[in-house]
Amino acid sequence: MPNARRSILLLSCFLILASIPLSAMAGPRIVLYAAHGGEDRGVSANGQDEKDWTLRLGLALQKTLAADGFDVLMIRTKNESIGYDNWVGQINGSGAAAAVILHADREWTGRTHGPWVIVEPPTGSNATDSQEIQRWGSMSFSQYRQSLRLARALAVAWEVNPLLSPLSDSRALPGETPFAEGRVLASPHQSLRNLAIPAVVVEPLFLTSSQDIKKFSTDEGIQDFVEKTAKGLQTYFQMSPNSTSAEVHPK
Amino acid sequence: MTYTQKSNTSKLNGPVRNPWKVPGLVILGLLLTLSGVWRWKTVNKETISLASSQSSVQVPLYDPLDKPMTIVLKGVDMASGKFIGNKAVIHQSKTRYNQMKQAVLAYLHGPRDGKFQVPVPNGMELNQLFLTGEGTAVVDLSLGGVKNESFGFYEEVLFIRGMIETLSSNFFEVRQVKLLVDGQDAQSLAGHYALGTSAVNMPVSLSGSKGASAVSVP
Repeated sequence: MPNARRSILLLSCFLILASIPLSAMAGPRIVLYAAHGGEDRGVSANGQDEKDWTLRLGLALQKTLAADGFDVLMIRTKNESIGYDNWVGQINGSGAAAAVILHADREWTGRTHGPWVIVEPPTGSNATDSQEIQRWGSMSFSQYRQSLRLARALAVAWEVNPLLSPLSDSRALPGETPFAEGRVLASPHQSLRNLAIPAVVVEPLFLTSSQDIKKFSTDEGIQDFVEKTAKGLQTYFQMSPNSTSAEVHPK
Repeated sequence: MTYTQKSNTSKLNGPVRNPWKVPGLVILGLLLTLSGVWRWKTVNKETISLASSQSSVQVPLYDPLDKPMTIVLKGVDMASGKFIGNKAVIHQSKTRYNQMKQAVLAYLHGPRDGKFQVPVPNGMELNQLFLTGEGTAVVDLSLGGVKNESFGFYEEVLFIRGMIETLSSNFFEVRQVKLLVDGQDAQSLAGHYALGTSAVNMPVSLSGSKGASAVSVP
């Protein structure tokens, strides 16, 4: 009789575990998109093309995030051009909890360097006369705040200032104090405007910065950046390192 | 019978013979007054286009004898890397529109070398400039000579911020800035910076912050 009872108990446990979908066992789903590709080179400087850097960094980040327990959907894995509607559709239909769009940048003085993280400011403003110019797409205030939280988690992990840059759009400023050294830029970005999930543009490097090119030309430099980025994502999802969904509590 | 005829004649030719004539005139007068009021309101409500650049192409923006006028251009201090204001001189002209257009041209053609530089890529030109009655400066740009690969997102942000602050800090009438590319609403300025529009194809860009006059460009 005890054996029968034990068997029933074991069978029940097995059935319960079997009924849990595999996806629930994995970590949170993240979409990575290495921007540009194929004929679309992105920005260029000093013989470097943006599309090559985004792919290189994207593949490294994909590997690290997967090792850390994330369920990673990588949109571009080779030098190919993916249409805007295509990749935006893939992100919005992915069921992911967040999206990270990788870009590289340039700036003619050569003084500016990465990393920067960009969030889309909210649609609408506190303007009393409602004369604000309308925009394509929409960004609710709550989605903006989620994206801003993700951006700040990344900035803290990179050990840069997580406050808003003064270059940020005025629609993002209510309730925020811009800081000259802030590395979070709230500014309308073509890669973010039509996304329906919390999303950020990550710019690890500026192609015009010799400091950045030197850093990211080594495997150690890239690995350091992707590990810190993974740490920032773990902070955002309140994961402990190498955890699974049992310990994940995304807000 | 005669009396009756006289009586009828009197009714037909007398001053109050047609009962509709006086009210008709009154209604006509009212309609004219209403249409006049409506037209006056409509004209005053319409967008105030101070002038188009096409008309100002024919008429010079200023007379050489016009007094000089100092404005502040926004750009980057190459020594400190800060986003700062730098004085420039335009001419007082007969209209504020002409002053504004001179300021925009001064920004677009501002210094590309030296200690102070404007964040404007080579090849960017002004097509048109308008100011609406609501205080929106509509800047129609030509990017024909600008290559996307040589104009990054950060540079686009600096360019737009410089344009907004150059206009808003010199002209109190400007409350926001809207950008068109080659006369059209565009999804982005040069591939990265997202411009805006409404569903009815009303353009474009962002509202300007009149905050910090000097921001750091790390």
